[in-house]
Amino acid sequence: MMMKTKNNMKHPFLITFLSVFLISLTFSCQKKNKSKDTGSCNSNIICYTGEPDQLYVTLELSPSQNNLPIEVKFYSGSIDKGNLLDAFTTLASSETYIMSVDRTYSATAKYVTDGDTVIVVDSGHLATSYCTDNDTKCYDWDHELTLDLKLKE
Amino acid sequence: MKTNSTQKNDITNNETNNKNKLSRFFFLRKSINFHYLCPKTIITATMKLNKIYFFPARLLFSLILFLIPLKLLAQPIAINPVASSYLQPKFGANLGTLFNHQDLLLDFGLGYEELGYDFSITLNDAFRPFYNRGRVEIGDQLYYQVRHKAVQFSIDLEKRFYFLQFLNYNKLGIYLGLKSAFAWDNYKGFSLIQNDGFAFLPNAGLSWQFSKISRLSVGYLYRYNSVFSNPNMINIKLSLYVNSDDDEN
Repeated sequence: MMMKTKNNMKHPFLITFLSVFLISLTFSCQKKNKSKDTGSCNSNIICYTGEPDQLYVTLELSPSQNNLPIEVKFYSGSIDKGNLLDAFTTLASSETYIMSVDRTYSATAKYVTDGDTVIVVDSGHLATSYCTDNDTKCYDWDHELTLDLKLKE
Repeated sequence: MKTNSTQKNDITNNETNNKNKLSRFFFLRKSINFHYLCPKTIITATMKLNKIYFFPARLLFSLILFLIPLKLLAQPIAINPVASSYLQPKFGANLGTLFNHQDLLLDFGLGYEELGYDFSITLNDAFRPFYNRGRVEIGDQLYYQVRHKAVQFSIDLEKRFYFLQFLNYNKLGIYLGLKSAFAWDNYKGFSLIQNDGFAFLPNAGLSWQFSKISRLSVGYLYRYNSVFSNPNMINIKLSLYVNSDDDEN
C-alpha cells in the first residue's frame, strides 16, 4: 500500500519537470522567421496584403548631458563585422530610417557623462509583421524596429 | 469627458476606499470579532489583501504544499550528519534557477545521485533566457553598455549533511557544492561570443529530501565570473530521482 502511494507521488514531479523542460526546449530552439505573426486582425483595420520590402528603424537616444552632441553610428549587420551606413552627431531624442527588411541592424551612441565615455550598443532584426484575417495575411506597413540606445540609469 | 483633476480625485478616492477596507480588515484580524465573520466580508477583504500584498507568499506557500508530503510535518528525529548508509545510486534530473536583483539564469541538469552517501555529480546547463543590460569597462573611463545573454555548462558536485529525519525518509540538512563552470556571453550587436572562461563557483544552503523521490535545495552561490551583475546569487533547485527503488524503503 505504501509503495503504491509513493509511485503515485512520483508522477506530478516528473510531469512538472518534463513539461518545464519541453517548454524551455521549444522556446530555445525557435527558428527565427522572416515575418512575425501577431494573431487575428482587428476588424477596423484596412488589410494590406502586399508585403513591404522596406520598414522603419528608429534609434532612441537619451537626452545629452552638458549639451554635448551624441555621436551615433548606424550599421547593417553587427558593429564589428557589419557595414557602417551612417555616422552623425545629434541632440535629438530619436532618429528614424527607412531600411530594407529581413536584415539585422546595429547602432551605437557615444555619451560623455561625468567624465566617463559610455558607448551604448543595440541591435535587432528588421522583419515584416502581419495579422491574419480568414487566412489572409494583412501586413503592418507601420511596423518598426526600435533600437534602444538610452543610457542605463 | 473627464478632466485630469477629476480623474486624479477618482484615483485618490479609490485609494482611500481601499486603505479603509484594508485597515478594516486588519482591525477584524486583530479584534477577532465574531460579528464580522460574515463569509462575504472575509472573502472580499482577503481577496483584496491577497491581490495587493500576498501573491508571492501564496505562490511560495502553494509550492511548498505541493512539494512537501504531509509526513514531513511529523515528529523529527536527530541523525548524525556525517553518518553514511549503504550505496544507493540513482539517476537524477534537476531544474533550478540562479538569481539576484540584477540577473537570472535557468539551470537544468542530469547526472548521478547517491542517496546512501548523500552526494551527487551532475552535468548542468544554465542560460539566461533574455538579454540583460550591463556595462563593461574597455579602457580608461571608457565603457560599453551592452545587452547580453549567457550560456554556462558545468559539472556540479554536491555533498549533503542531513541532521533531521522525518517519517518516510524525509530529511532536512545542509549542502555544500561546487560548480565547475564554463561560460560564454553573447552580446547583442556583436558577432563575437565572449568566452568567460573556467571557474569554480562555491555554493551552500539548505536541503530538503522528500522521501527518495525528490529534493529541494535553497542556498547561496558565488558567481564571481559574472561580468556585469552582482556575483552573489540565490540558488533554488529541485532534483528528481528518476529510478527510485521501492524495495529500499
